[in-house]
Amino acid sequence: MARLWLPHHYNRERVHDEEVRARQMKHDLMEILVCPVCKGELTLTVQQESGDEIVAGNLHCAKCNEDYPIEDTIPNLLPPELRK
Amino acid sequence: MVARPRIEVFEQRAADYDAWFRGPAGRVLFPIEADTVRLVLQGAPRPWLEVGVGTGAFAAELGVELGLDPAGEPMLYARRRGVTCIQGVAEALPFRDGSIGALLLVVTVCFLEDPTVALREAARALAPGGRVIIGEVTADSAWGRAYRKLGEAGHPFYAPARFFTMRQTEELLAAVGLRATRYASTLVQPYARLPQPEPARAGVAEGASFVAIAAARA
Repeated sequence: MARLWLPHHYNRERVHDEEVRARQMKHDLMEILVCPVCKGELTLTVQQESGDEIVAGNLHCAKCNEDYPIEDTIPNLLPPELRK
Repeated sequence: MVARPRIEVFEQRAADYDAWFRGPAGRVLFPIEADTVRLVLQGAPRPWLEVGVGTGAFAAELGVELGLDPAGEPMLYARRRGVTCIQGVAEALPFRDGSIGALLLVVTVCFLEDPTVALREAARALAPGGRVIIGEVTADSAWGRAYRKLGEAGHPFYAPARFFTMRQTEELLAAVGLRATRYASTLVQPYARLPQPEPARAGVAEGASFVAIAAARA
């Protein structure tokens, strides 16, 4: 699974810790994200990557049949009625 | 139905908002407010999430790795500061139950349409042993009264703000099953356009205008 965050994320950590933590967070981020409406599982589809980072993609909630876009590396998990 | 948050001003004026942190007031207030929040944050389990991360100044200063905000434009600043950004609202958090070690609301509760809904979501997302951390200027303090006046005079950032007394904040927390466990405070000086540095203090100092509260599940 590709990462959703920036590699310089843990800029306060020592380098080797940073790698360990970043790997851990990569796992954790998809682990902790859910649909904002039903809190159900999201399925990640990657459309564009840059290095390790997802630039564009999609998070799909099967229960709500709703797509949450990842644009410019930021997942948009606003409830559908608040999205432009 | 989630009410549209009062975010337009932050979408449109992200650069102005971010400039506050480097301005004559912000460059004094920001570090002492961050120090105050740090006093009740340190030792909390990871991950740390700032709800209402804005331009990410507090998150970056405090080592908070995740940020959520309804406004996309300010988060471009937060991302540059190394914060992992997610667009979303406090009232409908896109985080699993029990997944967040520290959920920070730093000068954010005052901008929420419905703080009770947001705090119920915060409590839901909180991991065992986790903390909800609120940093706010209190309504009945010298700075709270001054900000309210500025808002009434049409100040773009204070006009949409609604400040709470510490007691009201504790009541909001209690309503969602949270209980305050730690306090820190600063800003005992009177309101001034050019504030002076002062220390962050554990507990609630007499006359403090900025208070940080850490709350846990009751």
